[in-house]
Amino acid sequence: MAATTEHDPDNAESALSEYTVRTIDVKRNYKMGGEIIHALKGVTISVNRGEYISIMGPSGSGKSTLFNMIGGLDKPSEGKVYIDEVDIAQLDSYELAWMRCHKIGYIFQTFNLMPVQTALENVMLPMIFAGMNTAEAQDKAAEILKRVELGHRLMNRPAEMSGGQQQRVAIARAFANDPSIILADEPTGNLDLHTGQLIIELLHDLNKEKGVTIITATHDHKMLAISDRIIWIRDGRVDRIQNREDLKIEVGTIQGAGGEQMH
Amino acid sequence: MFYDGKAMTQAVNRSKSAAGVQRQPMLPLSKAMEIAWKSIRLRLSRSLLVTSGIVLALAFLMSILTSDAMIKGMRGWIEHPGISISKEQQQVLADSLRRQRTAVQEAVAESRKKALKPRERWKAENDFDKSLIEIQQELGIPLPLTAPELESAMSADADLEGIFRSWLESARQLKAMQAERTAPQRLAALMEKNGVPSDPVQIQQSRIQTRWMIGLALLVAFVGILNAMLMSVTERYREIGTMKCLGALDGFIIKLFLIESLFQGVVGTVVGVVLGLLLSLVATSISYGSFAWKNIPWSEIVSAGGVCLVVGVLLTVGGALYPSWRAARMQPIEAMRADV
Repeated sequence: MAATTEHDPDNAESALSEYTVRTIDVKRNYKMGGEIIHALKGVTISVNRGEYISIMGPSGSGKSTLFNMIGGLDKPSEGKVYIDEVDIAQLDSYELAWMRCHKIGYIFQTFNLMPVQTALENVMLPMIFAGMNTAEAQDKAAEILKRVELGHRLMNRPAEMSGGQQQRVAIARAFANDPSIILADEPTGNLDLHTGQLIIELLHDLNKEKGVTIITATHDHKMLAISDRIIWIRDGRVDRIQNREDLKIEVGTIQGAGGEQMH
Repeated sequence: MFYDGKAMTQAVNRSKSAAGVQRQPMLPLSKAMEIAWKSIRLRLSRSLLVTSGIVLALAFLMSILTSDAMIKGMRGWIEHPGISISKEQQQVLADSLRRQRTAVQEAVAESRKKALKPRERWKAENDFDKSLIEIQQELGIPLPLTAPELESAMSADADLEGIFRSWLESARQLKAMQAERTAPQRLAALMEKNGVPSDPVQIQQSRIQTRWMIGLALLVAFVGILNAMLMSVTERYREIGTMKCLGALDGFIIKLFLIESLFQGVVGTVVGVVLGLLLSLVATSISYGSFAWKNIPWSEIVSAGGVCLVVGVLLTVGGALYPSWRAARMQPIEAMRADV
């Protein structure tokens, strides 16, 4: 893996660099009105550096829960989550904040931009949190926004932009601190078909361009075609994992198979 | 820093880790200030709504405190009016007025004997500011002769006018003196008419009543401000969750809301205090006229303002701090999902 040495200059021989994300027997229980709900019943997965992973599954399958565990957005009830071989349960809040700031870029279904800030300021925010000075952050944010073809909308607020444009700002923001993982939760969920397609293509291009690992939770069939692997979640467990090669063989039947899974 | 087991494991983990997790730096206060200021400005209509709640609550509290202080001030003035005119001075003036009155009457009698012709012109040009009848009504002191008699006499004899004028001046002085000496009694009557008690037992009762009112005003401020701040912070939980995802430290988020609420609290309270003060000044002036301005206890009003400032700012900041502290400590996904 070419990207490995680049990301890991000090410790190239370490086996740690092979995976960006690993989960070991992750369980997550919720209390809901006295009843305990087992959203995840033990999930073990590994994600390679630079991979494009889609997590698929019907709603209520535990897909979103797994996704939140991987992103350090939620803590597992049992089991371990490693991001770049660091057990995130061991991190204190300062280290966790650093991790979220530098290692992970988040993209949400509802965009979650700061409503009072311009596109440029939204993209600058993670850089500001990282301690970068304003002038430098401005230049870098403008550059990333140009990459997502929003160079002409730097000074617009989210309310003045279309859904697709807002999601592209969110993507630019996710890439602000050159993370090694991008987590996208239903990134096309609030967009129309065509706009969603453009967003998927953009993510795919950035994946290839920057060698960043992309993990998406999705319902969207179009995601399948560009994913390296698809992890199917069902009833709080990994149902099956498909590689792209398998996908190509199955290409005639994938729509039907996917549809069956989905509904 | 304690080097307990967890810290050791962490240290081991860190040395093992290829990534080398670092600690997120705390941003300087100026950065928080900048972001908070922008947020207030761009949410102006929303923050004005919240601030207006603070203003109303504090105006209520301040006006009750000020009215109470002013009533106390007026009551104190009734007891110790500090009038400089003695009874003797008033007696001297009354005597001199009596002499002048006789002088006017004698002069008029003298003039009548001359049987001078009245001048129509004098009537048109006489420069008394009011008609003599009106002057009599205003003074409440009888004129030396009836108004028509005086008028016809003066129009016939120009010298009489001077004599009458000196009587009139003395009468006015006496009237003012009487007014000043009886002012406390009149104020007491006015207060009684407005339902403000004067005897010690009733004063004690009304003091308890006032305390209830102040307690009520505090409660209104407490509930109103806390509610407004809780609402305005909880509706931004998703923003807080997002900021945490982007690498904001808990402390930074709390600092952000602290600055924002401090600003709202100070502005809202100051406006509220000024508004409440003006309101109670106006209301007291309407009820008591110029008496209201006689004995304003400024030091008590200033301390009431101080109390209001402390109450307003503490409630505002407390009301914002608690929900933002809670949200900042949540897992980001919980904050983003939190139903408000």
